[in-house]
Amino acid sequence: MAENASHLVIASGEPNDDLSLLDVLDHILNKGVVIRGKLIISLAGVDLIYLGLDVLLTSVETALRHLPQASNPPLRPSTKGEIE
Amino acid sequence: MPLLAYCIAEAEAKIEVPRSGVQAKSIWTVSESGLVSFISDYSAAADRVQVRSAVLEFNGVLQHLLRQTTIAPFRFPTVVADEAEMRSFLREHAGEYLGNLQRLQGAVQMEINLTLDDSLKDPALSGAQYLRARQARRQTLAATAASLRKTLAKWTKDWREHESSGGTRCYLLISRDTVPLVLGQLKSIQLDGDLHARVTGPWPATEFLTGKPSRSREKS
Repeated sequence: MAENASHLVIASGEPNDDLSLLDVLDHILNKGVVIRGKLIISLAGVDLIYLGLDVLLTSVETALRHLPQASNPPLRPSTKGEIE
Repeated sequence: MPLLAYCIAEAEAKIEVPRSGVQAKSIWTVSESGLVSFISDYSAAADRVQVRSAVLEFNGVLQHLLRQTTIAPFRFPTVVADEAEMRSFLREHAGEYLGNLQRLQGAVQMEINLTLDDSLKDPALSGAQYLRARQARRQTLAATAASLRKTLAKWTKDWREHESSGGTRCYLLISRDTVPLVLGQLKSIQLDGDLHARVTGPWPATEFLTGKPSRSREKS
């Protein structure tokens, strides 16, 4: 649900709300805990799809941020966690 | 089959697990070291429509859980090989996430994206005029953000601001119980001139999570 009051828009974030779809994408794809490590490169198909999703759905800025990681996947001995 | 990770919560929290998540797969939990993680089976989405559905379903699960407790969401699509990998991750980062979840207990994040009609694209502007217009624009956004912060101070536990390409993003950390009050207050605000504000939330308090591992650690 969205409300228009002059120059202010309030979007509730409901999943079916078209108005907030971009906000949802921004949050789901760009924010949160990230697991990186050998696990991801051991699942080669999944890794490629991860890149594909970012290129498909996020901004150019985000896509560019991920491209170097995907073309040069990390080779670490253990899984790492990161909050972004 | 790979497992899709949704989020982390405190294991002690009493949570009703959603019946199904992305791709209508059943969701279950993995507990370790005082944390609980929500996961489901996952097949990689093949096209835009499937991806869009998956993203919305993922967000639906997060919102369902956020209404009940404090969560630290995984970025979509975070996939692990099996439960053992997830347990290993939770064990390794238990202190970090328990600390965050306890500190943010009961809190959610609201966002206000402040923008101004773009007056900087006028080709007739000289260099000096452009710089002055840009400075005025930043001052207007900063003053508006400060005014909003003051207006909402009663309910705000913490506040962050970031400049974005089109304006300023404000992040409010508030108690989940006060969301209707904050939205009510925001609805009564009148913005001047070319200002626009887009309010979204509640979201998991990702902007207020701390404890990012150092880059040197990542490279090890």
